[in-house]
Amino acid sequence: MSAVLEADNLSKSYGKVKALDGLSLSVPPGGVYGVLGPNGAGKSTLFRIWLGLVRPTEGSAKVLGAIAGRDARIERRAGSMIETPRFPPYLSARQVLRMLAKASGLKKADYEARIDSLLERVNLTDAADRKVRGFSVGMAQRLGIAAALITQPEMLILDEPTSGMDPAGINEMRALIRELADKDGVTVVIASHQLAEVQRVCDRVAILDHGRLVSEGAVSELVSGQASGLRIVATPTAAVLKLLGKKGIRDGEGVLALIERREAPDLFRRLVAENISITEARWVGGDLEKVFLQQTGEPRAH
Amino acid sequence: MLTDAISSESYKLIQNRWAAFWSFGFAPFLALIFGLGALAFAVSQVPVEMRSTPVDVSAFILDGAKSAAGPLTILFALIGGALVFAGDYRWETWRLIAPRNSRVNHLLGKLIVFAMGILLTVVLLVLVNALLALIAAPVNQSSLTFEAAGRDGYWMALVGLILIAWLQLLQAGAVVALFAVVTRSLLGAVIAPLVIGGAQLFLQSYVMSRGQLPELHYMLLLPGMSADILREFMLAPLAGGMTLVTSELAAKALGSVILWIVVGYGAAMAAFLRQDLSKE
Repeated sequence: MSAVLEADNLSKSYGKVKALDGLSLSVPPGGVYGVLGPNGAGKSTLFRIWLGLVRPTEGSAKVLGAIAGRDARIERRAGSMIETPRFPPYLSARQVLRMLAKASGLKKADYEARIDSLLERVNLTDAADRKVRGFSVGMAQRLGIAAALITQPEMLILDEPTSGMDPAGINEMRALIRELADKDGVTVVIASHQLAEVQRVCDRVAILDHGRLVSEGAVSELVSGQASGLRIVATPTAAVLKLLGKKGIRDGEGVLALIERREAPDLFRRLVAENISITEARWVGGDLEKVFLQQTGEPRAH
Repeated sequence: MLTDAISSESYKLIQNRWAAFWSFGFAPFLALIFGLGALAFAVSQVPVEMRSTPVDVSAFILDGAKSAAGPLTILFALIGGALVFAGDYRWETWRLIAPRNSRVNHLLGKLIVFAMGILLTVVLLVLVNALLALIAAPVNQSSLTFEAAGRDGYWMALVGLILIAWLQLLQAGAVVALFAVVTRSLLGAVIAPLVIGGAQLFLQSYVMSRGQLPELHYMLLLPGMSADILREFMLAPLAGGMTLVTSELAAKALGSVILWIVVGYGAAMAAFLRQDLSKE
């Protein structure tokens, strides 16, 4: 089946800064697709190019087979939410959806009933007629999802859909995304920093770094191919990093040692020999976070 | 597709009721208040026998059309224009709206909504003057007449004056549209045209003080003066043809106003089509 989103040798520069550097990527239809990467990896720029908000410096981007940003009729088949959505503050949630329905060319008879069901779906029925200026970040995110769904799109592009949400809100959003993909057959493409969340909700992921694609595949394949890592909290941390060399990555207050289990006894012996005081050591592995760290060399803060 | 942009843009404006009133309804409202104030002053200061001359409603209407694009109307139209053209930058809503239509349609939709807003302003200003005439007649114990309307060229002059006022406000809106796109700011969209307008007023007073007909380059620089020339041309038949404004000069004046409109909106469109909406 042909890709719903494509990037072919895509580059985008902002002055001297290269946000995307010859990126090629195809997003297949169906399921939930995650785009991961540290800050500045080019995720948001990629999404904005697909939505026609930003023009690429080189290469081409396609949405549902059409050049991105050229044909609004095609773009309307893809709902989107870029970061925390903003709305005219003088409008209520219902008026926001009404305005967007009009902008999308929907007929009144079609959108009025749909607005009610969308507000119910994102748990905003009680706040439907409140001005959005008083909305919390979580409420704005949920209204953003409803706004993205107003045209009943076959694809959703969501940039950091859980940004600023509380844990309960994140759970709701995760369930909604899975429901859209599984029950409604919507292809959902998300960019997120929440690696555990991405692992739970996505079927496939692409990892970007410095505007390039560094890894792509089904989450299960990427995770199963990884060796376990040992997370060590010890002092001095710098001495642990020095001892591990390229196999060590700073991980919060500890160090992630990218080693096999059989190498652990030798590592402990060397740590003791160096008079390094170990306060905690545990195996972490088989998760997307480790794949991400290995591919990008970024600490877990992302 | 253009109708979708107009529909959503007008919905946004109508829901922002106070801002819409300030932009397009406040100038007529102010004209009504000032008119009633002037009438009350006349009633209190002038004996009734001196006020009881017949009130010509058609002359009042013509006066309303003649002064419809005054400085105050332009000022509030600038605010309205900034609201329409810079609103999506101000509220950071382009990312929400832009993918739903082409950029050409988005900007044309804004232009058409703004054009309708200022047409409403001009028509309301004319109607306010008619209303003032209808109020003045009984207050002054005088009769109502439609004398001016019976004269040759009246209706042509009325339609012409309304169109000129509309074009002049549309021209001010073109400058607002351009600066809204370039500065991506509500404030920039108002301040820059105000500065340009102020400089034009200064230059216009110099050009007019010379006591001679303006050269083409001054007409191109000063669309407000060109609009004044057009007004004089349209009113000439009612003044018995007493005017220095020839058809050729009027055509140049019209060309100047239209050039500002085309260049202003054209440049705004060109900038918008090339603009990255990475951060509104």
